Amino acid sequence: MRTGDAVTLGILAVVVFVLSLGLPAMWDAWLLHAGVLLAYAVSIPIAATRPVLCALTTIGVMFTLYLTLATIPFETIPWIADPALSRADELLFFGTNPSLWLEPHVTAGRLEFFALVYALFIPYVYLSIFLGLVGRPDIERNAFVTGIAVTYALGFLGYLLVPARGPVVFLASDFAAPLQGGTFHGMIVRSVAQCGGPHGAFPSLHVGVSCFLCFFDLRWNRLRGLTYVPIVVLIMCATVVVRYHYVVDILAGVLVAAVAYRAASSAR
Amino acid sequence: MIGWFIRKALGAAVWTYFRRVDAEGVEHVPPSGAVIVASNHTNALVDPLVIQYVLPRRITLTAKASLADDPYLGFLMRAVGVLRFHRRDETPARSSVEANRRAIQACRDHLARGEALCIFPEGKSHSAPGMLPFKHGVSRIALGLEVPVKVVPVGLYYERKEKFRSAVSVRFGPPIEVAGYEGTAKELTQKLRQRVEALTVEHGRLREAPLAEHVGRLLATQAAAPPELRDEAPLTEHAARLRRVALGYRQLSRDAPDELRALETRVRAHRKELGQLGVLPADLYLPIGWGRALHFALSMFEVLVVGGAIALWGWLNHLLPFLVVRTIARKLSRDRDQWASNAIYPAIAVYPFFYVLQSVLVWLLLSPLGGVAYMALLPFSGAYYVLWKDRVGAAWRRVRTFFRWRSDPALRERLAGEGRAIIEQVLALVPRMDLDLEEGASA
Repeated sequence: MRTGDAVTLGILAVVVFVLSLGLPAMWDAWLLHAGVLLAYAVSIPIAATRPVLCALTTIGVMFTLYLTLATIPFETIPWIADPALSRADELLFFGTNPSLWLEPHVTAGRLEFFALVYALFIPYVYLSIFLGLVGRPDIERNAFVTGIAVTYALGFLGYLLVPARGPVVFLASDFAAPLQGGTFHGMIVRSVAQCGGPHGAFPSLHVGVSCFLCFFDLRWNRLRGLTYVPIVVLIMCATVVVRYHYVVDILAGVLVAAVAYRAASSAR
Repeated sequence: MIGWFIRKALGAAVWTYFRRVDAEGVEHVPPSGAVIVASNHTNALVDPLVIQYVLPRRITLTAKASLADDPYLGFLMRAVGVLRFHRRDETPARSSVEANRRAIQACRDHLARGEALCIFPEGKSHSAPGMLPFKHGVSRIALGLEVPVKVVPVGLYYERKEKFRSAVSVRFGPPIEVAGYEGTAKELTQKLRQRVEALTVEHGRLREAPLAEHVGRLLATQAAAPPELRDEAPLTEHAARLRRVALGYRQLSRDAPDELRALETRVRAHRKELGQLGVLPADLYLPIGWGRALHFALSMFEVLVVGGAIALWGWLNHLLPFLVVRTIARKLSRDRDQWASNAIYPAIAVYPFFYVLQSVLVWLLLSPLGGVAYMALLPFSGAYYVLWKDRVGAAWRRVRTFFRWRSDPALRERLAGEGRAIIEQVLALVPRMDLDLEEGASA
């Protein structure tokens, strides 16, 4: 079995187990995820001879989980990690909360710029997936899919075990005012709402996935990797500016990407 | 500290000047202990830099003493600890003998301490098609030492040494163990020469080089689609192949001159036609289907659009130092052997100078933080620009070739067929020449 498949089955099994804790209230979600787990397991031998299809299935499962996991941790796990994450940020910055410290510096123009950067994550991921799957040698494609699977799986583990909604919800009453952006900010606010509202702060998958893609490209396609270095750095800043993540989420995202890159490098 | 900074700066300059520095057999250089790295010498002061660039351990460089007459080079040589040899044609005979005796003793002292030396046995840099006779310095230094010394042969091959962003191949061979060596100094020198010869490319005559180069490039295609731009084959592979082609060329000119002449005419015509079209031999078999073209266009689009902004920034902010370095190199270089040296060595002073100057300006015009951020971004944007320019240049050539082949498939078919025929003709000669064109040269 390929590493990417094992990782996908593993995270699906963890999700099904966590959902079992919420039974019978979570029956529908349990049935859905158990079904996906079973279907994925059955599809492995079928997809084995079609590498691109196999890769798309793995990535498809991960993207689906991102949407279906939205509220599950908050309903099944009996703790909320926001206070601990916020405290960790304060410790990192010697007593100052970086999210609150940033507030006076985030003008409408800067917010729009960082909202655009935050949104750029989507085309970056889709374009990378296309270029990562099509026209690549099998060994590279397999490494790519393994890395993506590990990044998302570690991210989902964080979402499940460290449920948090981010500063935008937890520190809402501490901010002088909610963020007032323009078109791009409105666009990301609507997208987040459509995905079930702010959830899954720790680790930042925006950072984890974009860092992994960048690391991967620096190894296999150096120019593309370097091209996105500035954008990945800006995405890191953007996640804090738009208040969806704590700084500690960013650090965890980079760590997740590093682990995923190691896994990709030694993928079977 | 100054020496460390200069070595790092020279490494960065080598990285910038060359598109690729491909090394093979680095494992032949032991990580510790006395070792002499002996190489052919075709690119003046750049050769030792390239060797040091690919080696994980520090090596002490050697150079002719007259270079230190230049105050700038003299300062650099003292800072990085270069050992100086005196040439008879540059120094009065008596003093040169005495000075060289001291230099040889200094080399032996270095080796006795278990250090590594880099020596060029030809004695001077040149642009001749083959190697010059070897001097006996390496043997005189290595023989009779109490510590076990290894002499590692190195073959350097430059794609086009005078061209910015060209490639260089550095091939290391298995070391000659000097401990217990029972031959004479002359025999050791001869053995070393054979080992170095096996790692580099030698042409009998200068005019053979482009033809052998063309045949080597055609053989590398294997009459198949070219690799993606990011997967350029290492120049070490090409150098090994080219060496075999050059050997075959020599043998054929001796054994079957008529056949060689016919092949030469064919290769020359093919090379000329491709040159007129601006098509590289590697792109002869470029697929002309729209599916692959779209994939290529998409991957280049993001590099052009997203990367274009960074590259433009890098270009704008490095234009002045680039022009200054180019002017210096033009003024100082009398032949193509000196161009790279005259670009790389001044660059390590000119670029930092302009970095500081430009950053101070930004500091004064914007803010101290802006100045620091600007300075931190300069090396990245500069490095990005050169990589971007290489890729876009290669992509542009490939796009042109694609449309040329699309517009005239018959021309493509004819030239590709001729390329295949040349490959077949060359391969048919291989058994007669007892050469394996795909096998790398072994020392």
